[in-house]
Amino acid sequence: MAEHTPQTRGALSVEAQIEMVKRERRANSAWHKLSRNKMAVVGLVIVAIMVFMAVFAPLISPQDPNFVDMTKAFLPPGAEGHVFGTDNYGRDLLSRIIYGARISIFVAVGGTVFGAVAGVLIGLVAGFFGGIVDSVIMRIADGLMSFPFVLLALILMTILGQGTFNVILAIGIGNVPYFARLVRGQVHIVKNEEYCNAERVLGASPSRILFTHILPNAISPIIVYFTLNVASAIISEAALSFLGMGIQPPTASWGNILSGGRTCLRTSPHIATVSGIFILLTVLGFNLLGDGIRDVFDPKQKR
Amino acid sequence: MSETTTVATAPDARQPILSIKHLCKDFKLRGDGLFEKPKVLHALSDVSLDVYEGETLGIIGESGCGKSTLGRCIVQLHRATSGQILYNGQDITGLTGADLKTMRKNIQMIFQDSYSSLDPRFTAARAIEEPLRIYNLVPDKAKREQIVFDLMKEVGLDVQHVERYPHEFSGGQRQRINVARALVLDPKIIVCDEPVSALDVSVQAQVLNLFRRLQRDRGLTYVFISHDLSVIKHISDRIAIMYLGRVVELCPAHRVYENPMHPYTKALLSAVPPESPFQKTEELKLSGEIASPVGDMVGCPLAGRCPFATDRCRTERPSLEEVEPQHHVACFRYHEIAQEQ
Repeated sequence: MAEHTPQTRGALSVEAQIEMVKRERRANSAWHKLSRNKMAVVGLVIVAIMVFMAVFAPLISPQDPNFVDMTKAFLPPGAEGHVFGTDNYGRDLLSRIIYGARISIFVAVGGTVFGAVAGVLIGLVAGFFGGIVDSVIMRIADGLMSFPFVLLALILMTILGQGTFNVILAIGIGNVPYFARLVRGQVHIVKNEEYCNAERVLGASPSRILFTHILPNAISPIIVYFTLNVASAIISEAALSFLGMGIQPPTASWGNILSGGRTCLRTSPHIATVSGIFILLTVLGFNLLGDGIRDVFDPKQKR
Repeated sequence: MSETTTVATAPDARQPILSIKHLCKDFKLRGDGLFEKPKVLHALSDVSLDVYEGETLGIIGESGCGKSTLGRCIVQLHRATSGQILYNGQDITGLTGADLKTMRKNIQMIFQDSYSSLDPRFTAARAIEEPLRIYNLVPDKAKREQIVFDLMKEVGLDVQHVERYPHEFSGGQRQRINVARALVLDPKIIVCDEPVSALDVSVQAQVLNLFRRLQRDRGLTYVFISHDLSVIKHISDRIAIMYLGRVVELCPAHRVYENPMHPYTKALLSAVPPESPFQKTEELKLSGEIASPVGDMVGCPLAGRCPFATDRCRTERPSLEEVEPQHHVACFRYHEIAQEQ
């Protein structure tokens, strides 16, 4: 790019210049950038369908998900008007999947959001202030991370007692140290950048530097980790349900449908397969969307 | 302000806008061993300088001589270990909170690396208006935009590039954005920490001329840090030569070339390649490497490398004395050295 002095500035008319600025402003907008990324749009559509399913479950599910008819147990997909077949109690699998979306997505997203918000704040504080604060926070995080995730969630569930909200809390707390550690590392990289010094010279407060400069520049790996984590939170919820500490039957969740299907995998593989496919699709959707959002946050990605 | 044009002639008659008094800055280095005592690195030892309104004080020295540390102490990025920095008579070294924030408006800084000193996620316009947002000076968005446009024009940027990100600009353009950002608050002093050393030579000249024009138009005072003699010569009214955290010579810019007194200054000038092969140059070569600033030092910092060093130089530290009007030197033997050559 050539150097411009005021005298040699381009021969473009004022209108053309304003048009150019407007075009650039549009191209920089988050929505515009996301919509140009095909895979991100696919991810967004998948996530939107799942959320739609969860929100409008009573309207779209063909049957009561907890209606038991033992005469119709283990029906294969398509039989007698049951699109996905029935489970071991003869309950309509499609209805259970639709209602299960409510619990699974709510628990997975809720737990991850809880873990992310708390972990990011803790990580920011630890990374930015350093010193003793950093050491104390990180040793506690190390302590929590020394437990396997499911074991930690199990311990928390035992302390908190059962219930959907407590599952969210347990998964959330279990995630906090991972987010905190990730964020702290990022903050360490970004906080020594010269623009943070420049901002300090301009008179910005530490909290302004932290939230308008350090956090946005540290966010890419957080977003990626967040979306991957939604996926593993669905699995964690399934694991907790399987161990009898998660969502209690008869309430449907993808996790307990999957673990229920495991026992009859040889005779009726459709139960585990269908719920597994829905978990897979949701995980895929969140991952694609997450990748897209990360690109939106990267100013170097324009087209 | 009317005096700003007659800078180099008689600055002492005026009150300094910025006065650095006996400034020291130490850094603690952690020892290698577990029980080893931390070592102390003396980045600045007893630096005293006055800066007058409207002038450019050039600070020159080789890498590690403390010139950047000095700049960062002035803008309060580093806290001085001891000594004072007076801005219009007010000591700014101990300021905190709101007082510090108010003071910062007056003293701004331009950094060496034009790319890393801009947030990669901020467009040019957003970067330039950031100071206004920090102080909430202009709450009205349209007015803020107008200020940004005016400043971009003033520093020679295309207004149509407001929505571009730092990586989409060239080095010179990015440095212009940095200049615009520093100017938004209308500061009195700008500390320039090697602002052109990362640019190629043709762009260097353009940016230096921009600095000069802005100084003329706005009556700015610069503390201009550089390791490049030709750059310093071009822009400065007075020059301070630093060596190992100390000012060894301070004089009007032209005097450095006409009559360098300190052996280090002479050596620095000898290192400049002659403009023509037939030009006769005074040669002064220093032996050895620059000493380590870690640990306590006795005597003149240059004593180990100076061909004129005596026992006195090795045991006693020369202070900066005014040996001619406007010309300060920290050397015991400057007089004899001048006669010897």
